[in-house]
Amino acid sequence: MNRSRLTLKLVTIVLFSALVFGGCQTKQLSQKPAEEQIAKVKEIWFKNKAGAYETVVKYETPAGEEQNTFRLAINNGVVIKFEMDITTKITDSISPQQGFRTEIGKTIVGKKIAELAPFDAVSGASLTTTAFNEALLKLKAQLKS
Amino acid sequence: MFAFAFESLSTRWQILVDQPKMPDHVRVSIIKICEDFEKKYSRFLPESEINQIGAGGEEKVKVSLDLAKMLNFGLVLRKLTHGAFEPNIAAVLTSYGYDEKYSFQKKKLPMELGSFELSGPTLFKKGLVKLDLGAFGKGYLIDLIAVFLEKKGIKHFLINGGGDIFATDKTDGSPWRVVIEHPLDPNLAIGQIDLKNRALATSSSQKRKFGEFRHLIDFRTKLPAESVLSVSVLASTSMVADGVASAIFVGSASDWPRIVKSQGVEYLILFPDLSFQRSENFPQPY
Repeated sequence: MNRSRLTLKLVTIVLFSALVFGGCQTKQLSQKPAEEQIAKVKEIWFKNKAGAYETVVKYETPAGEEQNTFRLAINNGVVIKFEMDITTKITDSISPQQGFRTEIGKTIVGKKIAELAPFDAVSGASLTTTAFNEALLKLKAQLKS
Repeated sequence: MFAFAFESLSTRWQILVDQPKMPDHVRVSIIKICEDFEKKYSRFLPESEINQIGAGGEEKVKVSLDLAKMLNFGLVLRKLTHGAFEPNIAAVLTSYGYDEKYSFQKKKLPMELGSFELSGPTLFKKGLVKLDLGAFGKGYLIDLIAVFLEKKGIKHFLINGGGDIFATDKTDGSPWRVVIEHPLDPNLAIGQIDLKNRALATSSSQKRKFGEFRHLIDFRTKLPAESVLSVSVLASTSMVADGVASAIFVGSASDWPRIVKSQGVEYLILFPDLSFQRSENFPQPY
């Protein structure tokens, strides 16, 4: 999976989850048919002054309109920070929205290694493969020629 | 701080010692320990001990104490994973072209793979047994070097064998600071650990791959394991950290709790959608 695809996937997850979440939220409050539960969902991502991508997801519930703002900080195609604002005044909505924010926040986004210095060592697989990678490079060169 | 690095077992090693220098003879001996280990336990060297085990039939073979210790641990992981983890996996790796020439040319897998058991230092084999110690051998070697350094009176050190790490503490008693590489981007870290008298190992399928090949194979299906992206394990020894990281990687999720509990380790599992699961005492990732 390359990084742009990964970013797209994460953004899709956020949006899809927001839609599903919006539906579930409404279902808890009402027995109305499903098609009436999400009256409108409009989302346009834009880049804010801090350079983060931001969107507002709005949806109707029987108790009134709900909305959440999502912000993604993306660096070199990798999501490095996720934020979700909860501004609802509907008491029953607060807990599920917080739960959703916690769940989506469990995704690992990473930090730039260079900015974590000083450290003593790196645990991972990038050094384990000298001979393997050399062989792979030779094979790829052969395939090209 | 004194540091020296060298290449061995097809990877880069680094030893950090929290003192101004390390005697030359200690450095030479560490390199010799690694060279001897590779000669004895590499599946790529025809004269290695594991390649002296016959290819077919039934046989009783006396193995060295070190090999018995490693294989005993491998058999524990085999049991804990219900056969997903298997030291007798060299023929499968070779069938994917992960051979001594790194040919990456697929070959036909032998119809019948054999099996083995151990009783003390005696290995009982039946059928085709081709061992590969890649899942925990490097960890065991790190433990051997740690014991050697302590015997030489060097107490404050960190051993980094290609990203698998064991560390004691620094002279002031503080831990060594280690970051965990992101499996999809070597410029990113997914977490940071203060390491003190513990080992940390990370298994990932993202580095050693070619086409459909990944070097971490579920022996039950003979297919590359793909349900997780990386596994990091904290343990008291490098062999346990290394082996358990591989076992979790190839094993079923239903077996993870038993593996973790029986080996007394802390873990962080990263899934392909970048969600994660961690044990209570594994530091929160980024």
